[in-house]
Amino acid sequence: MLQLNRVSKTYHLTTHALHQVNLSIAPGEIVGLLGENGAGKTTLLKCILGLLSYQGSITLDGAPIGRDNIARLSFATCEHSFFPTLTPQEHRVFYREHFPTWRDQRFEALMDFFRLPGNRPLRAMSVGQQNQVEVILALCQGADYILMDEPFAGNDVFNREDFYKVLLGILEPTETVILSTHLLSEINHFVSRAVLLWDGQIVGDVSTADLDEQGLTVLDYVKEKYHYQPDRVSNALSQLSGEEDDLCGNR
Amino acid sequence: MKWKRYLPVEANATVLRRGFVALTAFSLVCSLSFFNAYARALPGIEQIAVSFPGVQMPPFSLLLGPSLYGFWVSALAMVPLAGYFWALHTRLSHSVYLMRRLPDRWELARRCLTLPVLAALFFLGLSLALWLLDFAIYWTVTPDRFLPSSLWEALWS
Amino acid sequence: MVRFDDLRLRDGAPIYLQIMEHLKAGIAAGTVQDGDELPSRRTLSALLGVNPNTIQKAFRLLEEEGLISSRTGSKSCVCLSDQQSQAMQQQLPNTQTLEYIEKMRAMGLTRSQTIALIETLWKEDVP
Repeated sequence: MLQLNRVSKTYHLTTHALHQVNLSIAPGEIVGLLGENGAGKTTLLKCILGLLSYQGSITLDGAPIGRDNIARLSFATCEHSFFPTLTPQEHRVFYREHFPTWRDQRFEALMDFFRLPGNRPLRAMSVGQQNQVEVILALCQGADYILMDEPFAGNDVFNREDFYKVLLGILEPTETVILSTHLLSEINHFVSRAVLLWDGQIVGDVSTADLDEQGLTVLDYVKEKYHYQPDRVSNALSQLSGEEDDLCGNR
Repeated sequence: MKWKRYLPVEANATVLRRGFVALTAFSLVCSLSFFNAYARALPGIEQIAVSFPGVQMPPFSLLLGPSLYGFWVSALAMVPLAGYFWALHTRLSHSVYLMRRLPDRWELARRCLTLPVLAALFFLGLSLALWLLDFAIYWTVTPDRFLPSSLWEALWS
Repeated sequence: MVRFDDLRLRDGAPIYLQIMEHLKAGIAAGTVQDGDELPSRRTLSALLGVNPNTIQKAFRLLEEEGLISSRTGSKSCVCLSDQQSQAMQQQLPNTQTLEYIEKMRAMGLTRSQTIALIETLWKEDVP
């Protein structure tokens, strides 16, 4: 169980990137971490991984995140955490050396399935391919909690659809995924739970099973929480055209 | 390739080796300035002593001059090198996110600091060795009448 | 093996219901027989791109309705008595016709008008 208790992160004494976040994530869940840019999704993930300092507590099965359990968390980010001058095969060697739980078979199978060149330096690959390798490495580390921060920025939709399906096929019941994304429509069926962040706070936390019952999609839910005004655009336009008519009328 | 564990994953070992050799060569060339100065001072003093019997050899520190500066500059250059090693993990890529998640908490520090620290110690050590060598030459080769009576005085003059 | 490749998920209706409907439609059409194996939950999850919990819910409800049986460790299979089979085969046309009747009513047609329409438009059954 990954437990966050009253987690807060402040920058420069005044900017609250995260404010009193409480969250529990059980093994096996596929959690969509949603919110607009700047809502705190990336900050939250980095705090869990110990890459940022924070107030409050974050524990994994009761123990704080430290050197003895950090390997149970893996990370794939749109910023890319790989070594650009190395090839995927060289990354395999590195990961295998540092993570005793490395899943070698899964790595080979995924590299094969997505037809990725194992012996080409990552910087010589397209952004889409780089994203895929980044995600594959996070999936094969052998972690129990796989954290992904907008991992598919730059991949075409077919790519992404394939990935969701492959993930569903290979993930074991003990593996948990936390996926931060703004692609609300396509993750609708994929996630089991949607956690919505706004301005550093959790404003929504619902299981997709419940949404399903109500006939709502994740997108509907988010719109509702954000008080999205569908007629905002048409209102603005009618104001503008109203102005023009006025000018014309009074000519 | 066990030593590669002490370098950043993406560091170019060949370039680093060449750089290290270049800095060492540069430092050794600089250190020649003592020998040059001494080689000129000794016959000179013999000459002057003919007319001015009480004359003394120029102080050691004067003859030494800039000859150890090469080593010190090389040692100092290890600071930006460590900075560069860090930048490899944060600018070139964000592999710092991976390095900081490793179960071995010292992996990142080891890779960024080992070479700069060892190299700095090497250059400082070499400068110390040459300082001692230069003084040994100064003290033993110069005839006694041109030197102060105490070694300590000669060393720190 | 019961096939789900042709199941296209639509918005608006819960996924687990759509999965259950797909199976029932297969039974009604006769393409799904007693004893046919269902794909494993994980396979179906990956095929449809749907969270395993949803698949689990569909299977659980189907089991409650007595249409499938699962043994732990192996795949679920369809278990239909002849009665059930027949009932399903009748049920689908029934539901479809009821829906159709509703639609005609909503457009203002009477019973005799609807029947007349069907008589006119339904081409003779091909033997």
